[in-house]
Amino acid sequence: MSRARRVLLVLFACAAVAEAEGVVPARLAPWLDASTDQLGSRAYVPSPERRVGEVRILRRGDATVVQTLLYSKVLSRVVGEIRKKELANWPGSPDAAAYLEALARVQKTIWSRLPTDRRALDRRQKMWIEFVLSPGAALIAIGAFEIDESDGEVHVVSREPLVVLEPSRAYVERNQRLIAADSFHDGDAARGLLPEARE
Amino acid sequence: MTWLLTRGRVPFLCALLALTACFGLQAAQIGVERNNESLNTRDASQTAIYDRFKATFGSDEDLLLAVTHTNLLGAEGLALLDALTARIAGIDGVRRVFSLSNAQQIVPGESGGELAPVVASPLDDPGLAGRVQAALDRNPDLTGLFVSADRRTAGLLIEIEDRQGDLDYRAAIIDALRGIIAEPRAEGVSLHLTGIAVQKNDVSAYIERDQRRLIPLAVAVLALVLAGFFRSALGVLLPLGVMGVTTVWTLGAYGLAGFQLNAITGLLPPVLMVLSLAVSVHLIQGWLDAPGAPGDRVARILGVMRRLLFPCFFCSLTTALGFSSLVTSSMPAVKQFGVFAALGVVLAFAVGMTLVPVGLSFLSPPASAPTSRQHRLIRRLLAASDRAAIQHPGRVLAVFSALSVASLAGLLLVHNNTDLVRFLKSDAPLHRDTLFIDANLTGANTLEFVVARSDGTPLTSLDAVRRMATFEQRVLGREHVTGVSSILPVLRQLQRAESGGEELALPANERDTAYAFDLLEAAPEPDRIRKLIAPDFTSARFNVRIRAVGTAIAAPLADAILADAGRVFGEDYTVSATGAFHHVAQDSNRLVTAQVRSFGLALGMVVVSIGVLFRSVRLTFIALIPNLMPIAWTGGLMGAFGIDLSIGTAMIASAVIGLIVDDTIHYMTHYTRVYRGDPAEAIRRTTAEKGPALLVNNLVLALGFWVGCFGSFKPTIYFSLLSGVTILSALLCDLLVTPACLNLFDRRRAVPA
Repeated sequence: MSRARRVLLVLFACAAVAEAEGVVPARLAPWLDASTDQLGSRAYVPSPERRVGEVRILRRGDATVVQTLLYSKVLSRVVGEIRKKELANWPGSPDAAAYLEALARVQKTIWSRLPTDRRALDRRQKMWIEFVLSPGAALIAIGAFEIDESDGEVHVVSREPLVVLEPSRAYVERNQRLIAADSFHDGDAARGLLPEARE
Repeated sequence: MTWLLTRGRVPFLCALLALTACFGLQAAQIGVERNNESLNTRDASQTAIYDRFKATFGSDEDLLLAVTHTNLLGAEGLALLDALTARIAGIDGVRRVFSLSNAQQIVPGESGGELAPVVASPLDDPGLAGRVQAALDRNPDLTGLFVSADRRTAGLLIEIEDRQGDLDYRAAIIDALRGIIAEPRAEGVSLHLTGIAVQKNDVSAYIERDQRRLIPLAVAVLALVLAGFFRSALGVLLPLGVMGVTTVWTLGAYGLAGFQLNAITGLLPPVLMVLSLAVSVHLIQGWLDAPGAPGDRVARILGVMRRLLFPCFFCSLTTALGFSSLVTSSMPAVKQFGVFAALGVVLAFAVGMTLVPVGLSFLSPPASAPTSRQHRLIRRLLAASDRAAIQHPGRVLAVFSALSVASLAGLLLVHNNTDLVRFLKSDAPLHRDTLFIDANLTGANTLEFVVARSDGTPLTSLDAVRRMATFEQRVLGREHVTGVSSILPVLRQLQRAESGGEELALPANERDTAYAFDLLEAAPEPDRIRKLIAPDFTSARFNVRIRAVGTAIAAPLADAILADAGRVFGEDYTVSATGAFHHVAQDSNRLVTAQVRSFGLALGMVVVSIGVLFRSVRLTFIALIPNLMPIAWTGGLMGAFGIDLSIGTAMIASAVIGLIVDDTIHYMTHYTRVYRGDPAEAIRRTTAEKGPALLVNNLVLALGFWVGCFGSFKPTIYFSLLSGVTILSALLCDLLVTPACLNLFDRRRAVPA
């Protein structure tokens, strides 16, 4: 790796950290630290053959995280599909409206960073969405990420949070269940990994 | 030979019958080619491009069904389209049907462009016609292929499966479609069908029909001519026996070689019948005319054979050489025709030289030569011809030479043109339907062009898309072009939907262009896109629809479009022309070269044969004059009557030169035998003694060839008609020009007294 490239990478990393610090309040930072993540279950969407992303159920400390990793050349279409479902599931919900607005904003940010030349090696736009639920917090984080692919599997090598929302706990909890039900063929097993719903 | 004519007769006939039965079994199993494969040349690079095209974009042999309805966009018309689309899609072997009823348009959606049907249910919605009309106005690329400009005719594009090894499913699909077309419909509703697969199917059906029609007709005509000339059962049965054995053996060999009949080799049976008669006619005529005691059967036959063996052998050799020159053709059908016609001539010689003497050995020779009563008219004509040649040889030669020079002028008017639709008669369903679709919907022929980058990278840059758009405009500006299908209309619709604008326009910048291809990559119905652009976007298809014109127009048009492409795309791109119709155009382009090559070869071989026979440069030169003249005349006739040079007519010169030279050989052999220093006397004797056989032989040949005029394909009709005309012209030349030349260039005249 050339020296100039190393310098550029360092600068990019610094910029990312600076931006993240601005986006993620310090009190929520522990729930977005993925260093201790334990994978519970995973499903490819829409299918393993034509995947545009995957949904993972993770344990992160005392939190349960439903993480959606999207890596698609037509991210706007995928976001459009999420929007349709969200509007159907949460008619008139201000939490849903805020979430959808944040999704659109992040999608545009990622789009604007895309290389213009289609012959670039990887033109997939990569967005992550996390619904985090712990006894002390209920939040949604949306951001960009970089991946490394080996053996047909996607490994997240860096994450950049771009938006963090704190909707109602019920919103996060129900959306975790809806996403799990929608993504996992064995919905019961996946839901078993989620915390019991509070009545 | 004496043994054969005495004790060996019965064993010989038994062996002949057994062999004929064996070959007959093979001949009976010959099928008809279903895919016209042998009408395509074996050009490796052309085939490779076409194979790559089919592997990338699928077959270009789609069928097009046109549906005309007085109220096409009304509820009834749309319901009919919908029902037909669903019904045809259910036919076994049909992969997909694209029509207005299932056509999609790209419209703005919540998250960008999305697919929406052009014709949305319910079909009885009173506002539907207006919405469909509006959708058609918004998407002009649908007009032409899916609906006519006057909105009265719709097109159903029927994509059929490519089942290797299954030769019958295409015919079953076409039968099913023709069954649908034949169903009673309301007034103002009509259906028409065209496509390459229909052409292939109909050609096969016509070949089968022609076999059923032409073979009995040829037998009847030849039997009548022989009966008229010989006026005896012997003169009919023996030649017909030789004809039957020769034809069965040759067709048996054709079947053993694994070939099937095609539009060209479909002519083999009648042509073989004609070719196999010459030896028999000469032998029987010689036997009837031969001097000798009536009781000495064997000696009489052997005498005739000794006298005719050499000229008959050379005649057969030159005829076989003429046909065999067709092996230089790059078209398998023409090669097969040449090889098996040549084989037939060789077999006819062998069979004629054995079966006829054996047959004659059972008969008592006539007590005297045939009376002149039966040939009075013939003898008068012959006397007139030898008078002209003896008394006015210079004038005869001048008149015939002038005719030949005039013909050469007509020859320049001959066009190289293959028109698959107009090859059929005007009442043929395919001819009628194709021209209807051509006039009322869209061009019935298509030329395919494939654009790719030289470095193999995808065509997803703004520059590539802009160049493709320029190319599209240039193509649309060409005469005879009625439309172009490519990925560009899809990109335009997509860009309009994504941008939320009203105007159809291509992506304006690199980012939008790249994204448009991203969207195409993720398209929900990739099959439609895959017919227009390769999955990795490295090659794009331009399907150029053109009017139902022949290759005389299509070949230069394809070349002009390729030249346009060269200018538009430059060196960083490659553009190749391909497709079934382009294949035909390329083959047609090669006809002239192939024609010159095979005729040159035939002429060379004939000249060498004559040179070996006469061992005289003077006689070889004289022999050429009466044989080149009729070929020039035929070429002139083609120019004068606007008959194109095509697969059939291109064979005439090569096939006929070996045939017509036979008369000259017979005439000059006899002339040299009776020549005693007085050319006039030798001409008189030769014309009187050889003339009748030449007349009947040529009449048999001409009428036999003309039987082909009752065929279904114009190229074979023209081949038959013009071959017959050439044969009769050659006879005229042999009875006037040959003696005139022999008289004029007599060797004693050349030496001063």
